[in-house]
Amino acid sequence: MTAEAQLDRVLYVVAAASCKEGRPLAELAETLGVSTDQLMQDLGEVTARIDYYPAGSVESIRIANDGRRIEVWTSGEFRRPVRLSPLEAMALGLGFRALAAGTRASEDRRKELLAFAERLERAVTTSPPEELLARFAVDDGTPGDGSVRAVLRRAAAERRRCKITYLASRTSQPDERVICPYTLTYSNGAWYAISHCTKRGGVRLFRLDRIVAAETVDGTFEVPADFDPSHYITEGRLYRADEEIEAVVRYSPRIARWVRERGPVEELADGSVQVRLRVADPQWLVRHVLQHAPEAEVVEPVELRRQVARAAELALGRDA
Amino acid sequence: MSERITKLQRWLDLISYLVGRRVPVSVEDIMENVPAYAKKWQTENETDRASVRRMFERDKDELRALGIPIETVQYRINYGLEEIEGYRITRQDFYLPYLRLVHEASPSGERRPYLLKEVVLTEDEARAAADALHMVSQLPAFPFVAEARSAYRKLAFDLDPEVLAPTPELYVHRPDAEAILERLRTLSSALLARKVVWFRYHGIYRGEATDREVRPYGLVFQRGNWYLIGHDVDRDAVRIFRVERMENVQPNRRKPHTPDYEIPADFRLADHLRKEAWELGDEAPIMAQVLFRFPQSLWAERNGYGRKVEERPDGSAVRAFEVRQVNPFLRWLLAFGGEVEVLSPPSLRDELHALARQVLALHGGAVE
Repeated sequence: MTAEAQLDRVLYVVAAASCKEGRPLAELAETLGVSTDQLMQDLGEVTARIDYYPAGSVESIRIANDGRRIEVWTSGEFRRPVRLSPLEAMALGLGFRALAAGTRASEDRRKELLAFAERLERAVTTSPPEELLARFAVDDGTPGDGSVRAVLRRAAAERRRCKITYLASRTSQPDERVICPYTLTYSNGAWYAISHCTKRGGVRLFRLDRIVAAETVDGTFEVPADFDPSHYITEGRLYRADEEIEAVVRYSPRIARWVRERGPVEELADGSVQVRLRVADPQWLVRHVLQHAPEAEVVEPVELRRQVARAAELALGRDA
Repeated sequence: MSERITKLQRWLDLISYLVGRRVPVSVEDIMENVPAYAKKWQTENETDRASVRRMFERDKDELRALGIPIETVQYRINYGLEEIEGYRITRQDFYLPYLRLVHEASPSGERRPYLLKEVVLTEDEARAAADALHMVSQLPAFPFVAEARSAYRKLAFDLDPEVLAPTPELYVHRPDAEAILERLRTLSSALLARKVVWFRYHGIYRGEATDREVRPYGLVFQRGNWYLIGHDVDRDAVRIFRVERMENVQPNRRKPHTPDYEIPADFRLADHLRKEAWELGDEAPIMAQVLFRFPQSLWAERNGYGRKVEERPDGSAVRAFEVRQVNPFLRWLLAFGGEVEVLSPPSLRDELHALARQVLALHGGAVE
């Protein structure tokens, strides 16, 4: 544990717990994202010198710590959190700039967000993070001009129903649906809305880049108590578990090392690797194999091999 | 109880001694009154004294880097006859100002122990700040998650948690996020300190791995991946590297407090953002025209891929692309199957067909 992190925690705890009856230890530890043991150790260092008087001052800081609650008495300093450090300010600034970049549809909104970001950064930090923000950038992959994501974010936050125009893969016409967006999820560079689809009467995943238009319509919704977005995530991928198929894909020795980093593989004698994948959407797997051409091959099922072959034929302009 | 004074204790003592002072204190006062320095200072041994002086200088620099606003002030003593240097931390600079939502009344008394500025926010602004921090703290392999969370705690100190409830958004972490985070920690420290890094780089479709020496200029997260942008010393040019494809990332550990290089004033990170893989290469650009059949034409338009040159009566559209790296472009196009067609240049069309034939052969199709 670095002294930097300890100082940060101690300054926060002293401010937070210098109130009547203090604060529960477990709550403070959770807010700080450390174990209660770690927090006890930090405070132990502060209180190690029993009658601790800050140097040159007549005021003491007393920390009562019975293992459950922390209460701090300080008549002097540290009853307030300190300003944001340069890296904290950078984290805030990066988030603001990513949000602003995601609202390309509305120049006014973008400017408003950036102006607020600058006002807040100046007000709450010791020195504004401009220099650091020139070194780091985050683009969270909002597709298009950001307007669809903006509509869906607001709808998810306010639990409003939305009408969307959706381009399902391999369809000849866009399709209109009414959905209840439970949560927006980012996976492998793409945004999805995990939503209840009124047409299908169940939870479906909608890729935001395939939503051509979105607007909120009348009616609110409740997210079912048993809804858990993690049910839709496996091995760092998002998928719907109720219609899955299993497939085996072989990756050539050339890209095998990257595949190994992403999860369990079966090693083959020629240096290539095989991966067993569960997928909800066979089209996703066809695209995945084509994107890795010619280093990936569907081994089974045979039907999926045929689909990849057919996609390749279509790319050659053959009406197979 | 241990006799040793820990770094945390030393720092707290120093901050306590300086904060809230109107009149600055001289370095001698600090040496005599901050326990960790005082012990050695009082020995009156010159070597010891010099060593605690250096310790104080390092503490001051480190605390300043953490954002603790230790101010150096020139002030006069002896009825203005003598000017000396002193230090202080003013409360206005040290503590977070009071945050208040626009419709709330200002609290008083115990909750406002110091005379500080007040920052008034609308609910929309407070939510935007919470969303901003929530977003970066969830970002896969983000090396400053602790800082993002700590910033959130501070801003949430005065505000209603209901207002700060973030929009329901979730970032899925890939299984390799931990390995990437490790590399990013090294790379971001090197970038902040401007130290050269060495790594082995595997261009995914480009044959053998190569050893690189790079001066980091920036780190970027886009399209689900982290990229390092920097000056490749051997190639003497700015290059972009996917962090996922690096191996054995080593920073220059010599002289950690002295930067190895300057970042050119005309370097702009924004110039490298929102680029597709085929726009990032070093090859001379090829202008390609691609037909997107309906309804993929709607998809390309909605997501801004290429530039529309022609819309046809059947709803299909021709779009123009500037391609600096052919291979990723071809693989991107191939995934559309028959929904797209390369119109020009013919060489690109041939290459796409060659790739399709390879896939076909692998999957047992008839190859002409």
